[in-house]
Amino acid sequence: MKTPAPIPIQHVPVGSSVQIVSVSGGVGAARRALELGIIAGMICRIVRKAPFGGPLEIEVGKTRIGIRPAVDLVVLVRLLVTDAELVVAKGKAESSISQTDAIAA
Amino acid sequence: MQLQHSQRSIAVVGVPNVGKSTLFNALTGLQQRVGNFPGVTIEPMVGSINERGESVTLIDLPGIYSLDASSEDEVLSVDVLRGVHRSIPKPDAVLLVMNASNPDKCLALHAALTTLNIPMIIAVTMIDDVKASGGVFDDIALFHELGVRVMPVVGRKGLGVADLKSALVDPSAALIPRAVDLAQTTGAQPSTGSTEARVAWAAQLVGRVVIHGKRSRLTEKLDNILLHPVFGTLAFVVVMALFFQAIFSWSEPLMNLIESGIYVLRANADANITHDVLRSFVSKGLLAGVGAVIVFLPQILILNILITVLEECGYMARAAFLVDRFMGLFGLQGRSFIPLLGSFACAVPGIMSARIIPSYKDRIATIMAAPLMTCSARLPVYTLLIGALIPSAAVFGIFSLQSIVMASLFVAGALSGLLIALVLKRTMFKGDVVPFLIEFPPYRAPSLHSLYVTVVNRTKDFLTTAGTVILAFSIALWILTELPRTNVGSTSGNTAALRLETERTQLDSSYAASIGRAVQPVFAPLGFDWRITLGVLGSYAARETFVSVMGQVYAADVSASDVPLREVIHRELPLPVGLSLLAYYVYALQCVSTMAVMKRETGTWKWPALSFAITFVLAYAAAWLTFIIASS
Repeated sequence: MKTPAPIPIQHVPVGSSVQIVSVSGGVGAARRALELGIIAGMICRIVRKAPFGGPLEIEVGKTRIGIRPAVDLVVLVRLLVTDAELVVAKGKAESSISQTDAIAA
Repeated sequence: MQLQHSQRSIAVVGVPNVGKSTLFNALTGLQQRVGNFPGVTIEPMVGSINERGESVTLIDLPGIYSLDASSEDEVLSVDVLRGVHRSIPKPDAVLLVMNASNPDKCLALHAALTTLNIPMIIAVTMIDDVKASGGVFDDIALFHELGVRVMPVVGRKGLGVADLKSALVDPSAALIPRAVDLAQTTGAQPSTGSTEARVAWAAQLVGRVVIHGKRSRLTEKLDNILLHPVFGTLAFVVVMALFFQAIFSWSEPLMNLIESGIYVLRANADANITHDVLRSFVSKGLLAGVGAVIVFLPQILILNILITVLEECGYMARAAFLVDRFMGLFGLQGRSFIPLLGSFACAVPGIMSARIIPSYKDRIATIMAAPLMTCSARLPVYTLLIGALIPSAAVFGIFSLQSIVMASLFVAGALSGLLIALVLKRTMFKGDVVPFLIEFPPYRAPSLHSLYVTVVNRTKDFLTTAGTVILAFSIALWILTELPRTNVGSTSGNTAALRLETERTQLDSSYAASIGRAVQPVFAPLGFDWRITLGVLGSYAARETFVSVMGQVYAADVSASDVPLREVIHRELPLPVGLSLLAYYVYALQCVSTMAVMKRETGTWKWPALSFAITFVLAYAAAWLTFIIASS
């Protein structure tokens, strides 16, 4: 399976599901993004975009977040085009947790 | 409330939007106030709990996600928790507030807090929501995992609050939490203390102790409308229209009630107090001065209630999202909207809430725009002058001309404030566009208790100002208007017309008139006479003082002609002067408290001084232009 190049999250069409590839930028903004759950590897859905090029609303886990990336906050994502890909990515995320579960147990 | 070193103190900590303030209110009720710690720029709320003869002080710290602070308010929380704060001593224990329906971030914060080795109690809110949706939150399992007491509470209904209070006053109830081994969770990854590791640890723990119920679709459905590009924008406009409508129209019956109450009191004082000086003091000093300002209490309360409701129900974050693009036009961001809207109540809390803006440049630009938002202290002035000068004619059948003038004053102020921010961002604060990031809390009904606390505390604040600053000013002005005495003794027993004449002569030759006349040349180009000048000068203590000064200098006319102050001003004040005065008040930064809070929040007198200078020039220029245009 070939992996498409990561794209900035604001260029993804509304309604699509993406996997977060990287979060970078200024220390403060990037850390806040991580604290809100915007972390590499997580699956997130682009819920809507505010009009006239305003911020995006995204859903990560159970959290909904308003985000407008800028120089200080760059979120690169990989578009999960098909349902099958979504299942695989979700499975990977879950298996990584169950692996750590096994370690913890 | 000063922290007593002998008393145990507990810091209330949590991530934003967990219902921390609701719980804090439920625990401390009205036993709370803004903490008065020497030299603290950001003052947390402090409350106390008294149970079974034991008492403990609770400090409500601003919400944090970790021990790495991103904004000014978070710095305070982190410094206090680390015990490095200059004046707030390290708390004896921490009450961590956790939201059962979205516990991941709370647990990630817990993981960070364990490194402090501080005794802790965990309160879990919204456990009822999880149960109602068919989910399970295993607080006992969580207790075994974390090694600290986990206590479910429903702050809104008061369930579990008594148990939590007992635990808080019991020094042995708080335990040092078990250390969290992040390395184990994240496998071989070396970044033990990283945010990712904490979030991963939390996610895994949530998997063990929580079964999420059926998700409530209410928030999603509401957001589909309220954040919709078209309907959401419309809804925002409607919310804002209702917001201002409520402040002006809904408060009117209450204001009329207070006004007539004070009128009756004055009539009684005028009729029944025989001693000349005492009568004059009660009627013209106390009732005309302080009474004129107390009338505005309903408006200020409605405004503060509405802001609390918008905050608590979760709409504020959505509003910030919707206006982010618009604010971008002025170099600001969505988060700036929250302090700016708050500034319509009062610039002081508005400027303080600018702490939620992580970027320094955005924060200062927002603070500089805040004083131009029409605050509730300007309202009395606008209401009085518009009521006196603008006919209550209808425009297009539905809008009243008075409301339109009022609305345009609000818009003029807000736009000018935003333009000042834009100029700052284009000059002193040049740089990259700052990102915007905000979490949307689920919608929930605002707690009545919080509203009650807001109303009581705001009323206290307002009456304190009215009872101190404005009372002192009213008395000082009364003395200045009564001295030096002319025709002493001839005011009683005469006809009303003669009495009015005597009182006018008294005022005209008083010290107050001399002061007004001495400064009047400065404001002469704006059309202000010495009375108005006196009012404007008084406003530099607090804006609403203008109304009490007018109440006092026209007191004789009011009681002689039996008409409200509005009518007297309508007779005495030419329209161009009135309009010029309105223009002056749109811009002028006449508020000592605002300047003091600007200094405190920015750490330097530079910003309040600059703001004062800019607004004075704008106010003078706008009033002058208005006067010239209106007179021609």
